[in-house]
Amino acid sequence: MQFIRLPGGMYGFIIKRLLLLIPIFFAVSIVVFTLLQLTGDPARQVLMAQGILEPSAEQLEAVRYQYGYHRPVYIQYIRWLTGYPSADPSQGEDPRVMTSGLLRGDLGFSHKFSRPVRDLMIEKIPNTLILMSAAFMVSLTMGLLLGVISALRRKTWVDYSGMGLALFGVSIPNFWQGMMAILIFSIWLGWLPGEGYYGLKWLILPALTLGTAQAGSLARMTRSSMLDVLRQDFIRTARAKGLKERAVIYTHALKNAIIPVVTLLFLRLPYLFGGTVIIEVVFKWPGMGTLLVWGGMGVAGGSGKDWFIIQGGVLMFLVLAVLANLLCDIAYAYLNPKIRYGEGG
Amino acid sequence: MAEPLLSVQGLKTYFFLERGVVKAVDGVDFEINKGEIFGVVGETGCGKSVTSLSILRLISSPPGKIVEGKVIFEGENLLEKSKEEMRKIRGNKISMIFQDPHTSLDPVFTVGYQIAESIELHQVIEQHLISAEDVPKKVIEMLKLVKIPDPEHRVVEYPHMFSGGMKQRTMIAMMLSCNPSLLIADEPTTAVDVTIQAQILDLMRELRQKLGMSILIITHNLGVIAEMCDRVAVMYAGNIVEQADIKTLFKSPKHPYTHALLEAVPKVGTKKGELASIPGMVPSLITPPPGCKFHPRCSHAMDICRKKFPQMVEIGKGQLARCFLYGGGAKK
Amino acid sequence: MLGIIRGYLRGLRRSPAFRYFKRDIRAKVGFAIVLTVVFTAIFASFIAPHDPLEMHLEETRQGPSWKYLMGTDWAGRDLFSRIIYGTRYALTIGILLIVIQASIGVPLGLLAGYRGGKVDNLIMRLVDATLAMPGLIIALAFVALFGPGLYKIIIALAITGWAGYARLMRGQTLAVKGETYIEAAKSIGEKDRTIVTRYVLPNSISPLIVLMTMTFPAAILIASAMSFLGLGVMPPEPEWGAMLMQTRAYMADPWPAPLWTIFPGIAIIVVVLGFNFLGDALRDAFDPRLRE
Repeated sequence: MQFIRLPGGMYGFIIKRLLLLIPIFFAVSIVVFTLLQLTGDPARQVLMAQGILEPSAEQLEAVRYQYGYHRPVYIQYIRWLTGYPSADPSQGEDPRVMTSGLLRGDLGFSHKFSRPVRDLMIEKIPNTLILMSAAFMVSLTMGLLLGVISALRRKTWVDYSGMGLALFGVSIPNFWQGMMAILIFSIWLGWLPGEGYYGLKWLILPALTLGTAQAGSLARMTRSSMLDVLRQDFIRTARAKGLKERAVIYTHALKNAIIPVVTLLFLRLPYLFGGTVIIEVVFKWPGMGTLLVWGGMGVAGGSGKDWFIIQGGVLMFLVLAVLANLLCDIAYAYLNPKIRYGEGG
Repeated sequence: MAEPLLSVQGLKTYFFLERGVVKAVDGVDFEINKGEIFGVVGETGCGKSVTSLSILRLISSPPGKIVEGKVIFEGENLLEKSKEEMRKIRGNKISMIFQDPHTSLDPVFTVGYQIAESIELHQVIEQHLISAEDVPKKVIEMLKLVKIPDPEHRVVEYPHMFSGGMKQRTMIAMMLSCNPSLLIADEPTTAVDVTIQAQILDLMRELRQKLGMSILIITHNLGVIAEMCDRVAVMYAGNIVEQADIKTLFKSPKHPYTHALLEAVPKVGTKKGELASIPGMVPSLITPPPGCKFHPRCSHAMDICRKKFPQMVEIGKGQLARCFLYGGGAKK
Repeated sequence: MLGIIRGYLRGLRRSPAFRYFKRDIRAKVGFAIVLTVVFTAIFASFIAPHDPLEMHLEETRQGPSWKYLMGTDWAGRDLFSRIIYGTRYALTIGILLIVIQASIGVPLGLLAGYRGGKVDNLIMRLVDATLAMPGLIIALAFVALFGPGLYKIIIALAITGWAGYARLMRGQTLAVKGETYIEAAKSIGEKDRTIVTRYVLPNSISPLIVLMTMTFPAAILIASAMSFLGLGVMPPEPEWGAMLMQTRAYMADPWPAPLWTIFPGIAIIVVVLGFNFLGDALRDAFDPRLRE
């Protein structure tokens, strides 16, 4: 293994990270699989999802064999992942309920909704992604703008009010912010809808709520990064060259200041996931968040747990988290010439 | 007597901090002639860097401020110019190179881009001296001038790919690209190895010859001064305490501080255990000692030194000293 | 040990950081708020005019009055008393979370920084993996397995939150370890344990304190979010997030229903802001670069 020399520079870096993804995804799959096992009795969970809250011993036994939960754990895992070994009717295993494996896209059957989990997720994931992207755009524009302006007008009223706003934004619970937005803009003023998703208009309030929540911390980060960069020697060099102030700030300072901000931005994406789930619940947005909380957990409106949904939801968010991390590393490698072009001559 | 290229008169630059007003430059006068290499030497904190930054008005304005004085360059007072006019002079007529080459170049732009920036701005856009297509050629020319090997390929590299000496040369290339009449070099060799130091200094001398510019060198290293300068000013706590041509300064220093500085440099042949140092500490620039600022550390201090601030006295040809030992306003 | 602490505190009082801090408005306001909240939490039973769970069925849905300062909710409970008692949940969650997270993170970070090598590598991988995980989602899974409740979510959140402390501690340990006075100490034969307690720990306290004051509000926010989702403190307990979960259904109702949404939210904001002010002021005070 040590004699293989990977290419340097950015491409080598990306390839290395992509290769690392494989063991990571395995680890994630093990974690998700283990969740169901940790409940103590997967068979009981299956029956409860069907509405049978106090299953008898015979029911439990039957289900256990149907789903193959009597097999050793590692066999169950391999089966969950690949679909092999397939159902053996002689042991009481029911081929209609066995999964054909995660790698083939089968995430189990939801008894609560009477549909395959995969279908449910395919329906909901795009909605969640739309919401997250819209919120991301909002937070990026607002946060960067506010941060840069505050840094440039340091210690003036612009700075103080900008940072005050950012601080306030960071201190507001986002679910409350959503509720107030609904109260004011939907119920009192009647300008925008506050529930569900039937078109672009329904995106406005939730995306703004989720976006502004992130914008505050982004603004603070940008401001501090800008201030750091403006203190550097090369900014003095740029001024000594006689460059216009605009070039000094927007060409030299900003480009340098953005690097740590972008890195941190992607690193914080996991927080965005949590926020998305909350906002989806507040605005009754039909995405993975509401599926997980109401469908999977069965709280605040749903009824009874469905572990296959929970597994599917957790899997999706963990995968997204890993991808966000990868994106962060790639973005950093791209923006930082030391990594992009290597150490050179 | 030709007009001096640069004439600094009564320059005072103060920094207004919460704990007090730091009088970094407290009345400085000197002149630099065309084609001359002028040195300003002194310990850390004596105000030499601030003086050079004040000439180009690069002092960060809160908390610093140029409170008094004139800086006459090519007949005009730079302190009265507008920001826009000043900008056109920087990097163009007067250039400055800084101490630490590792942090003075922008890490996210190529070397070529950073050199091209000032060429394009001053020579193409503002003065229409050359056309935009000629800029890349000029950049490579400059790299050749500062003796960077393989300039055609190096021009698209990033600063972190260069060694310290090469970075400093890039700075020089960048700052000389518009042919300034005055180059200010603030501790140009302090952050590089001794061998590189020699190369940089040689380069600077050669360029002075080729381009006919004047150089203002700021340093605490007497060796650099001895090697490079035609005339020197010695600074202490915000004032110039002695000024002379190079030979005179080293042969017969008049101010006690200059004397002590020269003594403090260990020479070959000094017996072990004999390192001389100047007793006492550098004074606070917020509350400097009354009278002559050097008197607490001066072995020749007289009564008047504690009470009155000495003026510059002319001692012989072109040598000035700020000391009551030679007059300076003392009653005889 | 006591001597070290006393010496540290004495030095702290004289340090420029403390003077800067004392004059900062944010510090004063933040401190005032925090003090008020702590006071309220401790003496809630004296301050609150009514029992937070008691339902006054003849006086439901009342607007603010002298008897019920913030009015009553749909079940006739005094909103003001419920808000007052809510401070207890906020503080408990914050303090417990920080203590647990620090107890896990600080020793691990210390170990990683001090020992270096394989131990460092292993711990940092764990830290990186933990930091990359979406905290709320993991907490969700935890609650799905073990049920809702105040202490359960504290554990769930602690599982993902310790990593920040570990990373900070490691950084501080490495920084101190690299200082030459450590080499000097080692060369005169000082034991590892002494080096850690006399040099590493005192130098790490300030950034640790800053981190704590910054993570406290985050803890409150995320815990109340979980209660809002129905996964943390369950109604009818007067935790602000749980209260908001219930009022969601009544948002469109006429006056005084909006108050049931507005007041709990404001309560959360006030507490969080107080700690954020304090944290910001502390952070700026300890930052040497900002004082030029």
